[in-house]
Amino acid sequence: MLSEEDYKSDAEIQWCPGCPNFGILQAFRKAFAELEKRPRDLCLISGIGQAAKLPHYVRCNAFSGLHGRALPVALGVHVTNPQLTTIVVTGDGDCYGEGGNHFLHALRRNPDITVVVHNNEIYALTKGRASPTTPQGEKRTLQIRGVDISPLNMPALAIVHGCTFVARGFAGEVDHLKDILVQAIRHKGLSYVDVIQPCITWGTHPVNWYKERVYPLGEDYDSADQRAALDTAMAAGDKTPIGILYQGSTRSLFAHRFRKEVTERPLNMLAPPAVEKIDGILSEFRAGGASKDGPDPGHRGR
Amino acid sequence: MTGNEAIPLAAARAGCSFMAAYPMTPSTGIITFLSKEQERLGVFTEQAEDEIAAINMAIGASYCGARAMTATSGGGFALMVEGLSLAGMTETPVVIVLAQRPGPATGLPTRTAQGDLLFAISAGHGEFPKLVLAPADAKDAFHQTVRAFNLADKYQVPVVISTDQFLADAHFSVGDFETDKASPHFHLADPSLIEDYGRYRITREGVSPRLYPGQSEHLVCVDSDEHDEKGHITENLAGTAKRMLEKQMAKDKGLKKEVRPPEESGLGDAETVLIGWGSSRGAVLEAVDLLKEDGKRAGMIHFTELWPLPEYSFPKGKSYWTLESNQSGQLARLLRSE
Repeated sequence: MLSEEDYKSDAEIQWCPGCPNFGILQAFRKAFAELEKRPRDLCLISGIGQAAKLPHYVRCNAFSGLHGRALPVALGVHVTNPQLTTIVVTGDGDCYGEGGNHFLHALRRNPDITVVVHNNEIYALTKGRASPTTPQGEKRTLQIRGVDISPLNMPALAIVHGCTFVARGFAGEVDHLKDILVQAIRHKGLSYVDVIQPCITWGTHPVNWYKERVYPLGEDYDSADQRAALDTAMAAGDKTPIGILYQGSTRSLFAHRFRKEVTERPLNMLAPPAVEKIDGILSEFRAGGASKDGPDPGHRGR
Repeated sequence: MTGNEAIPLAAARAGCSFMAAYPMTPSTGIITFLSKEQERLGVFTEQAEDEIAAINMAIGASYCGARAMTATSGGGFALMVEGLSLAGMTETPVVIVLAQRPGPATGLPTRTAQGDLLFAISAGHGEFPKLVLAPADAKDAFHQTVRAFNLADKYQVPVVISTDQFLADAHFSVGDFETDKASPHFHLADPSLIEDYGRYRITREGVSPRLYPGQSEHLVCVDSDEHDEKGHITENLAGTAKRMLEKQMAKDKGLKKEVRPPEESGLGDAETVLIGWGSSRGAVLEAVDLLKEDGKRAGMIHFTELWPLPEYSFPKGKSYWTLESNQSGQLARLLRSE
């Protein structure tokens, strides 16, 4: 039986004391224990930011890459070994700003990974600039007159593009978040969790301000209704629902065709083709062998 | 066979099982070939949403223990450069084919050039070891590609294979590919021999034992920030960071011993020597023949391994000219400066 303790690493935690990131970290460790995941089977991938430090604070395999580029790395990891539990730990700047294009295309691909976004509406690591989710009008260290453009609504975007697991959590409700993470990791396909994570050092509102404004979606909420989920995600107003906004029926998973037609095995277990096979293909290029196309057709310029 | 057919076939021979790329003339044929041959060669291919995704996907696959590659041209390579730096910092093997075309910017997409030599050699902010190869023809491209994967793995560095539209698209006649002479050699560590694993354990040659996630109970922790032996972020400048820099420099020394000197042809009594690199080998040889027909004593030196620059002394008393498809004589500048 694994417990939270089994997921503690020896790295010194570099977050402000009292940071709600500690809540997310706790939720992760509890979720892993409940799922009985072995550390060796976990691979947490991040970009750059305060959120991105989290993989180092969990006993697991970890890859902290470039700002905004956690998703493509995760895709490479996941396709190579689908048996690993691959989780992207990212932030609103890392995932929706620098890495926005990769998030968009992950929605198309539907890889069986989990993406958890620490959404603090700010660039905290670099001391307080606006992020793609900062509400219009709020001031930040660069946006001294107030942000003048509207924020992104990524949960709505995800639902529109057919993501089959879209959830919102709150770092101040650890057990509620833990339940979401457990379901997200179990879900087959891309599971996306946007976590409201107040920044107590650079942010505009204290944690209690958020506590008063979130409410958990109740038993009567139908998370299988995609249109209703979109309405929920787009609803304006003071209160923000937390929980699983949408959980849909399975779409085909990324790389399913390769897995079905070529091999189920992890790519790191495949042996290279023998010389005879290579020579066999080369012989097709001999005069009188199978005819080949000329130089690659199409692709004129870019 | 074209260069764009020889290279992917060689990649498969070398054990490559993952390729991600964004289509860009004249490199696209490489991923197309692997995609068509998916059943026979077993390489997973993915068209990435952009070149930044392509290089990062390849790095992710490589971190996870698969041999991985990408391919592009100058403009796409420009987008990949931060990723190249990531491969250097995280010491993740990756092979990148740079199929040159005239630049700058969109340039002349369907024409050939050799204008990205210095760009390829210096690409990637910060300082880290890398290998740059420039095959001469389809057969050489085959062998150099297998070599690229082996050396990328052995030294845990990014390797750039510099080709161009001519090598990519022209049909070369090859008698015997000698495929048995191009074999994959793998350099992953044995997890059973390791007690307490750190991905970046300092060694004298600079190469740390490499494991991948999921391979064993050992956890593999990697970071694009400067890091300690366990792969965690460090700000210890005088100690840890300095030792990591020295570790990378030690790898560079190892790479320098691996690069082969340029090919010499007819240098003996030559007065005039033409120096070329990459796919221009045939043309340079022909130019030497034309000079000889004119009564000149001419010879050739041809580079197919460009970085680290191989140790080579130019015999004195001859007149040296570089022959290259770029405006500023990049090979000449490189040779003069090193």
